[in-house]
Amino acid sequence: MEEKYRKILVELIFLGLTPAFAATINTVSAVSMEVGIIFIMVMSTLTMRLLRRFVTEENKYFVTLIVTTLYSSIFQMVTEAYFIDAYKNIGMYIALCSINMMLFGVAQGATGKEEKHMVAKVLLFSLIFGFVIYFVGSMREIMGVGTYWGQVKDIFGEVKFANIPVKYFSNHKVLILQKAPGAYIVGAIATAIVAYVLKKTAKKKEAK
Amino acid sequence: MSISEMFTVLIACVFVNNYTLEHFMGFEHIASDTSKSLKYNGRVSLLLTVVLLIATSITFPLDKWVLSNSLEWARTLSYVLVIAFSVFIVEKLIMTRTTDWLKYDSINVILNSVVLGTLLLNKSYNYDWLTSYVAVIGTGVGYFGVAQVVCGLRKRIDMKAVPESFRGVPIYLATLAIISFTVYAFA
Amino acid sequence: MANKSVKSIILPVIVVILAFVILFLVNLWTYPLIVESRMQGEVGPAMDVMPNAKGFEELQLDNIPSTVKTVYKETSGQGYVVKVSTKAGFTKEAIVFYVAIDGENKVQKINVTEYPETRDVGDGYVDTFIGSDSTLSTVDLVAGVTYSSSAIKNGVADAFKALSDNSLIVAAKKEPKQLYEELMPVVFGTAVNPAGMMAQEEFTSSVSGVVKAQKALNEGAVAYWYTDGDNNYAVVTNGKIAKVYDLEGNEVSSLSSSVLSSLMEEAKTMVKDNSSSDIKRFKKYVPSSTVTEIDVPLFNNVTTAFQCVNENGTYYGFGVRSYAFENTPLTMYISIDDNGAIYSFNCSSLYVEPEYFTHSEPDNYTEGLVGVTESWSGDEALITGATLTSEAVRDAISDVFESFKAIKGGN
Repeated sequence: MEEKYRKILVELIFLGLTPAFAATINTVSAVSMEVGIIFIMVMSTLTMRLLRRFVTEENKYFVTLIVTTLYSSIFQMVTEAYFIDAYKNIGMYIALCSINMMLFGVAQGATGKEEKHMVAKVLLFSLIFGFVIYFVGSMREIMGVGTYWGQVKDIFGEVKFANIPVKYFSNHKVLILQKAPGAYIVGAIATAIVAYVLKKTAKKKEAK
Repeated sequence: MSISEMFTVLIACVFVNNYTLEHFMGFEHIASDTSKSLKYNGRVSLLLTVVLLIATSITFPLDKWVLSNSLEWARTLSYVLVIAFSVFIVEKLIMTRTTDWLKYDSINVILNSVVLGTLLLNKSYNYDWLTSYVAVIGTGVGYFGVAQVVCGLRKRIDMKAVPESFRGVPIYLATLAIISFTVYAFA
Repeated sequence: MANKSVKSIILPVIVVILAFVILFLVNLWTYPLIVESRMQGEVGPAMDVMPNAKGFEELQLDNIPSTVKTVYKETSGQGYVVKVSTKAGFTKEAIVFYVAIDGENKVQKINVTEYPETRDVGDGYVDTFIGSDSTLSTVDLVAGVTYSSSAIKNGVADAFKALSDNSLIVAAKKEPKQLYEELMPVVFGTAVNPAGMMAQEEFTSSVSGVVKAQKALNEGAVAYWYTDGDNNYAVVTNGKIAKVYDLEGNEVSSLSSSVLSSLMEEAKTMVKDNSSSDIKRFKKYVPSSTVTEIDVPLFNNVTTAFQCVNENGTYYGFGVRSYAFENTPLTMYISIDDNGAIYSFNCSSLYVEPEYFTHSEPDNYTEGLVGVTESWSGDEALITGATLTSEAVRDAISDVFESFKAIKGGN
């Protein structure tokens, strides 16, 4: 990854966390939001890339705003039509993706003429962001409620995850993780993990 | 809604149901604001409240008489356009006259999720017109409170004492977690 | 410059218009699916209990029990699905379930969607309802989980009542046994605990014609189900007074006097006479008073009643034996002044578990009940961490006020 992106990656993830945190109440919601953010980010970037010849300095913010709002509304309607259970948890927060600073910044950056392989970079970035909210969602669900992927525990009986039986957590619930403070705590840990990994890979590159 | 219910809504928006701490709205603006001035946050909160009051004045009748009649698909886009229009009005009327008093990019107001989030939450709670205004004022006060606390804490966090991976964004999130705990105790 | 300004304006306008058009087209595609999803979300649990249903129509009914929240009618005539929410369980939190009643007015299936109780009724309990009609005569309560299973059973009965009261189904005729068992908590208050459950044990009666004989656990009264072949009677007596009902709950006087005398004679031997010991108590609790026993024409947890007269006025003493933890009788001695306020409250067995009194000493607790009148809130009886004992005290005081009113002859 290019150095200029590596430095701002954690900050960029932070800017996008507003709708994501609210959707990390469980793993299913987190994955639904992750899919939505990837969709909105990629489609907005593609659209702005196509429109880059027509946007001017005066109107690029407004056009970017309308484009991200359009795709977030589309995703909202499709989610409500096909995945009503996921929509109940994340419905309103998909609408907030339209003014998400991260999505906005990435889409607006696509209008730059110097960028190459923009879509591939955006996809990679969205997967990293997806890891963060997936991690937050999983931890909040496993440690807060004692289940993983919702009802899988009922289907398989005792569900094991990385050799730690989820049943242990269902008897030792940390209920605060299901509330707002829990999201902030786990989010802090998740972004610290990302920062740590980036720092290690940067040092490896420097060593080379 | 009665006066006492409106007062409850006001107190809820400031403390128990603080939109920044409970609904994760606007915290990225608070934590990433590099200003050291505590007064600056008050002015930003005031600006957001004014924008919200204008936006509520437009979105409430729009929602009631236009969007509710099978035009729900256009709600988010309409709200965003209304917010942009409100910011445009505020920019032309207020900010051009107070450039020294408040330097704030209008795009940061539009992209602040507190603005759109407040409008959407007021709709989902089915508040009437007057209660929406009360909720907006409560949101502004709540945002101001959180911003003041976070900015005050930023000065006091000694980054050298923080592990390297936690410096910057993670420590701000941890700070917000602790503030959120205190508000959670009210609930 | 002008060209650039025009370009700055035209593009956003075109983008906004295009955005609205695209959203409109997406809405045309997704709107029917959204409506179906919303409908599915509301009636999904109803579909779970009636899988072959073609569709549901929500009915707006009047005069339904408060536990019945929604009534759906299956559109092809297969029956009804009723959503019930009851807080009559042990935790007082809402137990929510859906019950499907088929075209033959019998339970087809029950699905419990919210169950906040501390003990499980067991997976098979709701299956015992399948095939039962509105009498629910084949359904028993689950031992050890009485509150929760009773809440579910009463909820299903409410569902049937909602449908039969609105002439949607015909209620099945109940057998005498069921009528008698449903009548008992209403007329045999001496054997009813604060939660409305029966606290009684059966015994064998020597009087011929008695189908069932029950004694209250506090030994205050007995109840009989008597039949003379043509008619069924429910008789409640403590040996001194008796009340006779038909199985519909109406008081009747058609029972033969010789049978009634035999039943009352037998009741005298089953009921414990606490009069002499309670008189001594009230002579101590209402000092320098002349204590005379009086009869109370009610069957509640008050087992003895006295009039105590001293130089300060007239007081009424009541020996109450209500039910606390595990239906253990809790004996209380409550005296009321002539104005209807509690004069004294005594209960030696409250001090058995002193660690319950975290907020005050036991003496403060009993003194806090002095002066309480009929319009009390019930908060004075609360003992933190001892819900059943608190309920027993509340129940006892309520029964005392009820008996006081009956003695005074007022409403």
